Amino acid sequence: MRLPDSFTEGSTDSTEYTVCGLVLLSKSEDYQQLYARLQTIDGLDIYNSSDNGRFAVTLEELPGGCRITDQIEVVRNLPGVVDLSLAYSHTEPISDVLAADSHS
Amino acid sequence: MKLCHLKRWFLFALTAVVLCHYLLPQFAIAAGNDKPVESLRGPAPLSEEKKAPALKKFPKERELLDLNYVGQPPLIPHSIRGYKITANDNRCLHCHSWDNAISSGATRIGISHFRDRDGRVLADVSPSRYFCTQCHVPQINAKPLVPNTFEPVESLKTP
Amino acid sequence: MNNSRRTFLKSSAAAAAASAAGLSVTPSTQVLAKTGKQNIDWDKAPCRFCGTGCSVLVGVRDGRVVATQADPDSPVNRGLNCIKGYFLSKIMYGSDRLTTPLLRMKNGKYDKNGQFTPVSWDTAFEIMARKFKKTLKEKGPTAVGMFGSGQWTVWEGYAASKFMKAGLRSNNIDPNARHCMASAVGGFMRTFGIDEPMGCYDDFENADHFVLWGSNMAECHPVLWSRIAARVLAFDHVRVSVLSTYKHRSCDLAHLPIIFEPQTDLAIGNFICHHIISTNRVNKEFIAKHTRFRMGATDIGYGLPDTSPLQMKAAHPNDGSSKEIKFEDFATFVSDYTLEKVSKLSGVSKKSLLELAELYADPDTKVMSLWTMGVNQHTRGVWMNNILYNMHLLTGKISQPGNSPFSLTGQPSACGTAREVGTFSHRLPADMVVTNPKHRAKAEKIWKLPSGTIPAKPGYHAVLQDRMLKKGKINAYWVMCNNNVQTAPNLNEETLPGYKNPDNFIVVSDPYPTVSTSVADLILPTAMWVEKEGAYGNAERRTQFWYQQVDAPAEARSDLWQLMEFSKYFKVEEVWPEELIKKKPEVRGKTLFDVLYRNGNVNRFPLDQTNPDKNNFESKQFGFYVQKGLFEEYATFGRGKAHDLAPFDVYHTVRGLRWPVVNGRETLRRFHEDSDPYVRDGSEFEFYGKADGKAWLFALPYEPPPEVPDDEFDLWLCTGRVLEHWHSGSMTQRVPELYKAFPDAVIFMHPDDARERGLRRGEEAMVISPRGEIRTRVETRGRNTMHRGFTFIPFFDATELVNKLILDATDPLSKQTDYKKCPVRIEKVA
Repeated sequence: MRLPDSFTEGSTDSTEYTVCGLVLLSKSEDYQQLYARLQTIDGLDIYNSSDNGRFAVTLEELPGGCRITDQIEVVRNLPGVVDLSLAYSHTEPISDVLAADSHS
Repeated sequence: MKLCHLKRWFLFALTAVVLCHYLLPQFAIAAGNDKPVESLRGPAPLSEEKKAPALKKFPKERELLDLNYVGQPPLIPHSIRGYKITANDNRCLHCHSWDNAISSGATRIGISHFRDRDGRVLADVSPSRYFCTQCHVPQINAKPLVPNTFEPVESLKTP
Repeated sequence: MNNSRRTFLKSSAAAAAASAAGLSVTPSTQVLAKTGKQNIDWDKAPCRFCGTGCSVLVGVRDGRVVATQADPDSPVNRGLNCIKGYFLSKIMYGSDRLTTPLLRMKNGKYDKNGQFTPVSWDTAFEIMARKFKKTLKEKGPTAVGMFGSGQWTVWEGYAASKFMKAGLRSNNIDPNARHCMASAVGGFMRTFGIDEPMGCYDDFENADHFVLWGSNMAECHPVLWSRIAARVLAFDHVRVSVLSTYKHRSCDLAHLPIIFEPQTDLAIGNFICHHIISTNRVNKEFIAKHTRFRMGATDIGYGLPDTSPLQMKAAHPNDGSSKEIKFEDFATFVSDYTLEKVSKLSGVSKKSLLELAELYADPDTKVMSLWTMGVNQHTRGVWMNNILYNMHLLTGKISQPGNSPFSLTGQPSACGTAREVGTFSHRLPADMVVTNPKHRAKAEKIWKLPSGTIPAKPGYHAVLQDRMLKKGKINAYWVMCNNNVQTAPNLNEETLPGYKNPDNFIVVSDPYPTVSTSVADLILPTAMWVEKEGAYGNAERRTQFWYQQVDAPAEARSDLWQLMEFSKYFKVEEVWPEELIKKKPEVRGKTLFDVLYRNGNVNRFPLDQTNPDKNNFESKQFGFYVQKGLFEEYATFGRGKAHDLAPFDVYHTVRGLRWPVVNGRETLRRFHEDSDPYVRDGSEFEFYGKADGKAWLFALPYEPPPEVPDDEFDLWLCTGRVLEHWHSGSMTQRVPELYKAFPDAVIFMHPDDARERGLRRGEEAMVISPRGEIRTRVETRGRNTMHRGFTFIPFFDATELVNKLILDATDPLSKQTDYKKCPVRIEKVA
């Protein structure tokens, strides 16, 4: 899946919120270790996983936080990660995200 | 010495020894009369010239080395003897560029290497990341001069 | 931010990922809760190493550093470090950290021949105070000394300067920056009347041509080199020229690599000036409006002891004076440096010389000149700095984007601490000098001291301190934050005798055991880097702050704590004469701590102004915000005097600011009205360090080095650094990855030179100079390509003390040692 344009133009000064859904594959013997390592990544949450080495995770980029392209790369290079795929991504101005609650 | 004095003296000495063990700092320091506080030079007096250690070899190939923390530039697990990086040619990229890594089997350079100073993603390796050996170095096979007590986070420790 | 829209988007992402992974879209119940323990606390700090001043984010968990990141928000390095920066997380954790004061004792008493014995801080300071007071009583303030550091934090240098100059009333305080930047300072003061670069790092993204004069930026300022590489590789017209006495990694990017005969950089510079003039490319308007010309005194000696034959031959030893001349006289002077002559002298082809000169002469080429130790560690280092400015001033290529003569700094705070605070034997803060009565009066006023406290006569500089220790004229000496026994020149003849002199009491403060601590009488365990709240000032005048992030081990304490605590052991009556006390009788019965640090300024800010989320050991110990108090008192010197620093608290919130900071705005380029608030409107340029705003160009000749290769010592030796190690290796050699990347010092030499001496790569060689010898291994390949007759040994290795070989000759004006050209002989070890 092609990364949206906002990625190629992004910077840490961005005023946008981005969330990605990622699929990670690892060998089953590396599952435990990788699970623990993923816990330490800023902006990453493990949504679900199975001990044959599959993970469904979300990665978020908030203004002023780590760039999501950085974080994807960090995750991809973690020991134990055999492959990483982008299953979903969405970007919108942070103001829209914050404004949403005021409408409800 | 009467037996009760002996006992008392023994207890006192024992207490002293136990106290010393807990009160003295953990790290290697002089105990007052024996081991001197040595620099990396070791015990050789400054005026002396000891035999220079033999040139240490960088192994041709070795296992991948663990990262100490997430984001550390990986160490080079092979010798880079003769590898040149000039304006015209970068030997490392012969194997590690995104195109060549597929056929060479080498680790692809990270996506961070495609970004310039201002955060723009480029079509090719960013020139600021071009001189690989500023951040990546090979390792000889040797014990450290002095043990280092740095601890990585649990998830990065090898089981 | 808990927000319904965010939750919704996140769930969508999670569901898509789970579905693609073949996992249940309903989350598993086995999710590990994120506990506080998983979190790493990140905070900024400048890198501990070179003068580039990169910023890092330090990751702390459970009171220990567990990671670092290259700070993506720093304009200096934007998310990039070099290999040393990437291993900062390990530098504090060598297992042989010093954790208790250690005093040489025998039979329960201090004995210079005793063994190191753990003592309490109180015992350590007691004997130290006794020794210092005894010396002061018997011989006066000229017999005590301190050797400090360009790696001290700003307030450590300031506290030390106050302690020595105002407390003990001695000007015998000098920093190790004397060995690295003194010539640069001399150059600034002579040409501009004010210290530190006028340009900034933004010039890297604006220049058309970079010229490195004797600096190896690829290894010694790697992140700045990346900025150069970025510009060179991205734009066809941008080029690099590298002038060096041997071929090193920086030459790999050079379009014009120039290898020249040592010391002939002086002649090459003069040729370039001649070329600019003779081809009519002088910026006549600029010269007329903004410069003056001077003829400098010549034949000024080599800073050797007065009794040495070379020194006695000098016609005007140590003479930095000059007389006013006209432009025409200058033109005549440099016309002597013809292409033919200079090519012959320097060994550089005429073609290369012309190409180089054209870069400077062409008005449309924006040139950034960059230099560090090749120019500064030079027996005519001040002259060479002046000549580099000549080239830029003749063409007006200065103080504008890309046109930038840039003196690179070696140490992380040689600028911020040593130079700006003035921790030199002749200086006071903000470029003031002890010899000027107005300057002394100003310092005494700010420091609330009676008039006459600060001594007027400059003290002993670095090399002279070693000589005076040897002679027994300094008897109580404190070495802080450096490893001078490894890094000072002529170890056997000059440094070691002084430290071993039975009349002398030597104190060394360091985090680790070094060769300096090995010859000390008292070792004080010192806190490092993020174990204390600190500030550094880098090469582009950027002052950067950091908070304390972890605690120092056991009883290790920062240099700041040591200085301030030690001052409590002195009653004013014990160190000040009665005439002085009479002028300010309220100091009677007080300690130096009261007078220097509880003076209403330094203790002005209460503890509740410290950061509640961070420890601040020193402030807690003394009961007030010491770093803020010292800084704000120090800043008084420079505000309004073109050295303006922003308020203390601002620096903790930003990635540093380049001074002068006026009305909240930092100054990128000085001396030009577009960017410098101190330049008067309409004047375009104003070199306001000089009374009439005009910079000085100096007519200065080539003069040879004090020693050149001869029949007995037939090879040149140069010393310096390698990428992986910092200075004497006390920190980097204890990081396993850095040690294993470059484990031992070697001698880089040409294979034919080796072969002629019966040596092959890897064999053991004895390197001999008139002053000593070391054993090392021959290296004929790798990062340095040596030509015939030239060798290089890095100085990080405690087992190969290359400074045994180096002559203690200095630039007579800056007193900075020349570490770059020493004739040696090499023999095969049987």
